[in-house]
Amino acid sequence: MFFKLCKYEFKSILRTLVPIYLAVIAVSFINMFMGVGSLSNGYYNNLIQNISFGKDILGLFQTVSMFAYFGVMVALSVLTLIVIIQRFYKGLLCDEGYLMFTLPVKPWLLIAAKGTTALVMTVASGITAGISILMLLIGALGPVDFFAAVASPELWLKIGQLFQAVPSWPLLMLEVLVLIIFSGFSKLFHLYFSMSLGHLANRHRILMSVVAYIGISMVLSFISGFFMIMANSIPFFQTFFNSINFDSGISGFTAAMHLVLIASIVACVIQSAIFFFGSERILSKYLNLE
Amino acid sequence: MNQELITARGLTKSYGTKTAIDHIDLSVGHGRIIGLLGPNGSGKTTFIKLLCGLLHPTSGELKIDGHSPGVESKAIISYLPDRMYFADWMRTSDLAAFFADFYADFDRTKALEMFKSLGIGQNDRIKTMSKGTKEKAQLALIMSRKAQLYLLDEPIGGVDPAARDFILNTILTNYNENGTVLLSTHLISDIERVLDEVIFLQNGKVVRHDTVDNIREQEGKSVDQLFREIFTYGH
Repeated sequence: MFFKLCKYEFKSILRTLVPIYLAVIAVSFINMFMGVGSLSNGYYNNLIQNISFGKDILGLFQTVSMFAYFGVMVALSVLTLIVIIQRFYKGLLCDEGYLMFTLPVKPWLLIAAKGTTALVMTVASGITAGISILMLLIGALGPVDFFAAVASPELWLKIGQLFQAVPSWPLLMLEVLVLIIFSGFSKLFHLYFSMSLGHLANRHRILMSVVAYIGISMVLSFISGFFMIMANSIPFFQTFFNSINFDSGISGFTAAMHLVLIASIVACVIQSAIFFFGSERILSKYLNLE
Repeated sequence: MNQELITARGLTKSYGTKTAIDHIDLSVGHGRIIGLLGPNGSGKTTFIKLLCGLLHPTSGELKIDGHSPGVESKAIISYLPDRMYFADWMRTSDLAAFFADFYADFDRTKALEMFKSLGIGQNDRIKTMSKGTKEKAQLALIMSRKAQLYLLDEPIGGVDPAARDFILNTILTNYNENGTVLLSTHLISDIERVLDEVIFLQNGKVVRHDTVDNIREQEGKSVDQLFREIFTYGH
């Protein structure tokens, strides 16, 4: 059932996001040759030196494609966020909710399917942005220089040295990956929980969702600030931190990284769990579609 | 299979201070066509939403085929809400695929046949359909399930009289013989001929639950007339 729910979720999200992904790639491709990417290199100097207004025309092309580039990048992030919010709000708390909540599935599965799909799409948007930046980089360096740089043994030697210096790098990478997943979930479920709380109000549900979102953010800042103060002033934490060897160069740095990453993962898992079960309880017990 | 399909004991639902369903005691058997009748705001939609699990009772007990509203009850209930509940980008074929994925009792061939006889193409998008066509498409899907309980909230509310007859015939000829159809409406004269039982709701209370034959014999009048008496003199 979970995968069937995800399948329909993907179908409806992809309709909106695939066109913007294509637009991002297309505009990046143009910029690779004309705009942001090619500003620093002299691709077109030979071509335009004999035309009196050639430089102006080229400048115009570059400006327009740069604006287009920033436009689609902003659209990419804003649309991803809006689609994620809409898929939950319209898909569960408005008319479509009549369909979803009468399916023979438990409400937590509905939330999990929405969350999983939203996370995958956030990653997909991130990858699209990454590809776009890579394309600009290729444009700026010129394809030949770029691939020469990527293929150069020096670069790989440096990377190899870095890996050798940090023997626990596979663990670090895994921790980063887990952190990305759970910090993604914590932010998504924060949105879902806010909308579920807003749904409890009889009127002004969207406004109440925004209020709930801001309220929760404030509580989170307060709690993390509180932990900082605790960590600084309680003897147990002080001895704990002192026991970690921070001073011996890269290995001390790695130890600190592990600590920070694991602490962040734990914080994100706790947040995700609270927001997820909070939303689940509200949608199971206090569902009230209008 | 339980003796009774629906049993409600002391079923109450309130929104804040307003009581929409007020201590309903009721039992409904299998294989019946039942009209849930009452004026606007009498609690018809609330009662149906409680049955299909969209709302939770404030107090009291509600069982559908022995189960509290939940996954088991949702699997045997086919619900037609009083609104369009599909995303408007979906095509007719998407709708059928969706139902086939989630409901084991859905008969896809039957649904596609019904779409065909309604003149709805497989690639028609919901967005481009008229209000009446949307209602018909949704009804075709609902009635293509072999459900134990069909809950139809105002199934003939938004369509013209000719379509009304078509919809009633669709309901009559397609529902599962062992299943029960519970339909809410205030257009009683149109549906009276198909009903086995009626439940009159007023201010969240059941004021009468009887078979149509009994009403005709004891009162010597049609359900429509009785409805007008109960709800006109009452106010």
